[in-house]
Amino acid sequence: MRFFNRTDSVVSLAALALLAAVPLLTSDNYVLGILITAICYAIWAGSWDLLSGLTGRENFGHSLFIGAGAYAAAYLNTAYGIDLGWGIVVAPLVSGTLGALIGLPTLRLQGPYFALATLVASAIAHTLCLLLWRVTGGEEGLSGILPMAGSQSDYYYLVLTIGFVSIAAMKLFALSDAGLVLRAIGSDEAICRAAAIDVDAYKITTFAFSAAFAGLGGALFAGYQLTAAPDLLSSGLSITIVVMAYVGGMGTIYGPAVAALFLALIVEYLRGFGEYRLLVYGLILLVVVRLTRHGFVDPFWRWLKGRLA
Amino acid sequence: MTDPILRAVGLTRAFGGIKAVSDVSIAVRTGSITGILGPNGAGKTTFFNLLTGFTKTGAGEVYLQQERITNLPPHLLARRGLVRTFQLAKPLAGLTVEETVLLPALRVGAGQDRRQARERAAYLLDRVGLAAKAEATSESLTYGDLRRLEIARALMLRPKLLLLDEPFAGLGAGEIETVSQLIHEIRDREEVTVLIIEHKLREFFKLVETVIVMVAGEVVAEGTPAEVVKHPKVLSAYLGERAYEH
Ligand SMILES: Nc1ncnc2c1ncn2[C@@H]1O[C@H](COP(=O)(O)OP(=O)(O)O)[C@@H](O)[C@H]1O
Ligand SMILES: [Mg+2]
Repeated sequence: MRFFNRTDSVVSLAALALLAAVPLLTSDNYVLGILITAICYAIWAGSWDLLSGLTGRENFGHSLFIGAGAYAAAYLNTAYGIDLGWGIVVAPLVSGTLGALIGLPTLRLQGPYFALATLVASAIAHTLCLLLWRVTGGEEGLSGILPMAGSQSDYYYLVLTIGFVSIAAMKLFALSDAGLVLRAIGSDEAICRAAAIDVDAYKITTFAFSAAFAGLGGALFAGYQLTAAPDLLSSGLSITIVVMAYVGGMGTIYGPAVAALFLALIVEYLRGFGEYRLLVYGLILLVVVRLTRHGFVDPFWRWLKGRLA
Repeated sequence: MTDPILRAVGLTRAFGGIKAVSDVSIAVRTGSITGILGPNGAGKTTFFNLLTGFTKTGAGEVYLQQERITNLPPHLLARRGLVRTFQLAKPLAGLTVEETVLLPALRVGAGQDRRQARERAAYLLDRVGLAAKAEATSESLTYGDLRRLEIARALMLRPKLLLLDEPFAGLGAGEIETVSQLIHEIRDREEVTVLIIEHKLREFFKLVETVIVMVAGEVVAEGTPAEVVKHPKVLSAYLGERAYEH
């Protein structure tokens, strides 16, 4: 069946309810902060999957769109005093436009151009961000964003709502006709062209959506940290997100999102690793790629549903 | 005489100095089943790629019903009714057989009512003998099934001119007969003109009304199957073997 079955809907709403109950159980800002971060990762991994999971065109520079969204919101707030709420609206537009601009010349090409272009574009953005320190704040980033919500738990509910709606919207998109067309494009572009499909338009539009959601998550994250830092543009972040998507099961949207949620929480508890975090992700990726073809989350959920049925 | 549905004029394309297609001019009669015969490497597939916008032309023009369509992108040509299949039939990973046939109707702006599209897909799957496998994944099909699935998907676009690149390749005798009948039906019932590439096959000569022979990128002969097989250039191209033997 192409649409959400009942079990999927019930379980995702139950998960939402569980997450919504957390502020009732604890008023610990640290716990809520970790969850906000984890939800942002879930948006990032899910949005990466939208293009790369469905079509197999791997984007190695997702951080560019995350960072662009974060900096857009932060800049509007710190330079012009524009409310963070508007920043959260503008950020996806900025990142989506960037996505379309980068996708336009690169997604038409076959081979590794797209992967390389996204990697290089994010590296350039990262460097520019450090060079243009007068505007971007350099290593320090843009700090001093005025918080949007009165309390951490209010902001948590905002992030949870936007996160859930975003991931559900992306999942529905993946299940729609457009999602099916994108899967077909991932399998064989020539067949799709012969079937009257404007393959380039599909890829570029989807990439713009993917980038827009990444930027939305970036703005939400900046709104939590009250800073947009250059880390958000780093290749390390892009690679972390790719790993999360692989662990979750590419092309399933919810898989990468759930994997991101868990990995972000686990890694938070591995804080002691500090600098070794990327190494941990690297090892996880090696293990996942070696052991599974579809990651862990999606196969596990299918298995569980089979047992329950 | 009606106007030809398709005309190629002086179509040329070279790859690194080698002329894969060299100054080819043909006209395809509306409503006909026309064949393009030629040994491997003759430039037949490249010729199809030039007609359908998959490969840019070096020189020459293509006209579909008198309209110049040279180098238009494939998806726009498909929307105009110029639809092709590929020499190698491939499944679409993760899509069911039904979804694979529906694909042309799923794009934004396909302008087809969903129920009508599904009915058409079901009808076509039935016609190509795949109705029972509609829910199966396209990857689970045999090669013969894939070939017929590809033809069904092409028909989903309601083509005016259907270009089939070696539709019999890799098929057993029974399947060749089925596909052959299917092509006849398509022409008669759907009023589709059919242009078929083949490199040698007895069935092909029974099916087509006109044969265009290509050798080394050039058209060397044109006529009815009976005329063409006796043509000296065809005989020498097939060097001792007869063109219609399998
Ligand atoms: N994309 C390409 N790049 C380079 N050479 C090509 C390409 N496509 C076809 N050719 C060459 O053009 C010639 C004709 O090939 P093709 O059109 O596939 O012939 P046919 O379909 O008649 O077997 C061959 O020599 C082939 O190697
Ligand atoms: Mg060929």
